Amino acid sequence: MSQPTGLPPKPRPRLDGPERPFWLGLREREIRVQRCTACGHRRFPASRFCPECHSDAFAWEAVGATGTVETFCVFHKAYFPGFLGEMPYAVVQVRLDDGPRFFSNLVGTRPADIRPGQRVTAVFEDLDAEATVLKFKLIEGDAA
Amino acid sequence: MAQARAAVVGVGTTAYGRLPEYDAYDLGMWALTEALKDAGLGFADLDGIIVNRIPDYQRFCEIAGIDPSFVTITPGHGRFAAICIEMALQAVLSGRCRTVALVYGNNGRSAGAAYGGESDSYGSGGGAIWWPYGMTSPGAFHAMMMRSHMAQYGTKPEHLAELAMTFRDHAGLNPQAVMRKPFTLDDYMNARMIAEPLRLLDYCLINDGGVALIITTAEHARDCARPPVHIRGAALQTVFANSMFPPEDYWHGAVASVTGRSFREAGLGRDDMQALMIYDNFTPTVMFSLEGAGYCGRGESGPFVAEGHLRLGRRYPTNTSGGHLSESYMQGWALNVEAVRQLRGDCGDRQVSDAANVHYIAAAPVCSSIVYSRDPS
Repeated sequence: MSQPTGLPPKPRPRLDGPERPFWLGLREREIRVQRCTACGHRRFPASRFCPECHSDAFAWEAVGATGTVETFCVFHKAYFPGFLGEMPYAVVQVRLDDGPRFFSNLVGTRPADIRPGQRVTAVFEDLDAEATVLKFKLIEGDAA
Repeated sequence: MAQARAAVVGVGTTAYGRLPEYDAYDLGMWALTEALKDAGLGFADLDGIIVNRIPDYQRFCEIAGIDPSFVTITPGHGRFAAICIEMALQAVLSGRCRTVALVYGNNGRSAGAAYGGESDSYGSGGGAIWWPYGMTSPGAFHAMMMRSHMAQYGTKPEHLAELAMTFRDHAGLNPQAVMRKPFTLDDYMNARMIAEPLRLLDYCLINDGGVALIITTAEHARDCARPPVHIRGAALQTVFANSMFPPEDYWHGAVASVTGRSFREAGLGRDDMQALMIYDNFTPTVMFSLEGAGYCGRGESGPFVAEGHLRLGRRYPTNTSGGHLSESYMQGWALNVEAVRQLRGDCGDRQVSDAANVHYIAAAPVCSSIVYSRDPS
């Protein structure tokens, strides 16, 4: 999705950082997070050591794409000029059914219609030929 | 209950507002000079110094012309006011230091400090990984918490409005406060949204200013110029696990823990407090603090605040200076000074009558509670 003409770009994900496997996974339509191979705890963002058992043994593995909106807020101030074309915009906090949490955006839902407790599923939004971000959309027919 | 063993013997504050001719060192020096004068002490009496937010401790001490035996510097996060006070307590109570100065200098307004966007460093590791989604700023983090609280307990914007109006009315009685003009519920509701559900009037005021406190033992405190204000109890509790996202309990557990520990140390309870100083970077933090400390039930802060209990003349006058919302965002420091001034009876039109004990609370990834008392026991 390209930016409307005249707007600066939105902040881009840092694709070459410790979360590189996550960003690569999004290209392949998977949500990959670290799973501790010692205790099974799943974590994101990345850390070498498991906060639960302190093991440094881990694998990047896909988790399920569904989750729940825990809370959200609506930005009326454009801290990033790249968002000026879509003010006000909502940021949701989603907890995946498999555990990890993400800040993200809901695709196709107006800020006024967002409620904590809504069920959501992943949307993989390609920014360009290299970067994909993890967004979510409401699961139709699911009770809020 | 044991006799209090440490006390604040000097407090100093600068003017607050836009002070472009002063940098953070100047503001710290201004405040420290005032605090030493207040205590009847000189620079040479300091054998410990804890610097907060001022960029460089070495340069600061060089400017102050002092060679204390102990020095440290701490990050410019509001949670560090109580951490620094705790460090000063440990230094004087262990006997390793006799007199410790805490010095805070903040030129954030003139320097154009911003707490959102590309300069955002709030939270665990900073939040840059979420910027592609537009997530940024401590205000938004607290807005997320407030939205949960509203959904869970029915807390309303009108409740936050009453809190903000209360502190503004208090600021009207404080000549040092930056924002003194009262506002109405309509003004609050019509203020521009920043991170909804939070409006402009839910946010603290970034300004320039400096604050200093001098802490020593109860024994040495007797020799100082002003009556000492005793630190009867103090406690800290970190909440770092999974802290990239807001705590599901609104920091209730940690605030309850620090309140309980500091009250037990003081031999005092909520009923003994005549005023509260509550860290108010944003209005929700005050709500969560009141609930965690038990001044009202969990989830009941909205109606509790709406009943007016935090106003001067009522049961728990809170942030009598106007706090961060209306006096100036001095990151907890000025609220600790206000506690001292209330207990000395120095607060003029905003004086709480017969103030004997004041409770400072901060709800944050490091929660803190400090009990200040006029009497040593």
